[in-house]
Amino acid sequence: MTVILVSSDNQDFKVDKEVAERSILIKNMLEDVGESDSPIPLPNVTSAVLTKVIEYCEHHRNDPVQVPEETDDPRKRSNDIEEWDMKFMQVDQEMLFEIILAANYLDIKPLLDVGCKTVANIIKGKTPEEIRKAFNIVNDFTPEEEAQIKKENEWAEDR
Amino acid sequence: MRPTLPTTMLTISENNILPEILERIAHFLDPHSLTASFRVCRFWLDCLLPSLYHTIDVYHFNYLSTTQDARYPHGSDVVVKTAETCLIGLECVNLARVTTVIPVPDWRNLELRAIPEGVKEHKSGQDRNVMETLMAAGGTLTVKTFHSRFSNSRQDVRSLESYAQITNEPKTQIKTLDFFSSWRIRMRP
Repeated sequence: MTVILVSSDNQDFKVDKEVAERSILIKNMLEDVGESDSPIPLPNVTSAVLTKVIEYCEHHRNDPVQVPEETDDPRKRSNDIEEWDMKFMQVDQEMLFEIILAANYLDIKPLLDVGCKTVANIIKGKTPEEIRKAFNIVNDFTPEEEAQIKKENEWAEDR
Repeated sequence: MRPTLPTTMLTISENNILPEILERIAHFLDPHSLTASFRVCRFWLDCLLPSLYHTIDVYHFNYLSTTQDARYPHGSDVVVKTAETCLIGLECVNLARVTTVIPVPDWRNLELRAIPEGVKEHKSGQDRNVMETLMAAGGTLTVKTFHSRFSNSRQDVRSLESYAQITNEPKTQIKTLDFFSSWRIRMRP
């Protein structure tokens, strides 16, 4: 069985149901409407991003169903990205964040995690200034504020 | 030469990324990178601080009748409970008579710290009289830590230890007689 997904720019994507159901949002929508040929509009996802998301879901169509997150691991690892996923995420930053936002909206947690791990890996080992440069962010702290934040939280660095 | 980022580029800023996503990214950061991220900008700080400090929900006011205390006739006991299991510290400001019930896997790492508002921290080595003076003068606050840094904290250390021994549960009950509010827990990264 296939379903039709409609991107925000009105492009139709015909997708196997089991692929589309990697998205919990779509899975729930399909369960709510029952057997129907009606296209599913995804107003928050452009065709370019939906193409990537579908590519991911196709590749992971046989993965086990998502399990609840482990709660006993306070600091998750970001270095356990599969090789295919790592290549999949080799996109420009704009696309990377679009994929993360789409994964969040569509409720595809494995994709969301891969995206977040990728960003975390960009951040790792950088100074605040290097992070700002990497993501084109303006520093809106005064030097005094920044020093104060560093002082207040440096206890965590020793852990 | 690498091209510069276009100004229209989607970046992790206030307008185009959700705070919960930034917080999720923080879960994958090591402590050093996390604290560096705090200093990127205000938006990042607001989003990422909860990764290190967790708010405890006060779930029951007036749980215990207050001990009669002429100085604080309206002080009420507050029970605070958290399910967090990696507690290493607690910051409190401006509530009266606080009882906390906190899971502490390793109670020796627990640090209770009051954040004074407009009052100097209670320094190590000062005795209970100084604490009383502070309380009477400003209505705020004492600072207590375990590890015997403050003389008035020893009783709390013993309570903590004996409770843990008696129940053999990763919980402890700490009772303080100070004015606290705004609870934050420091989490082990």
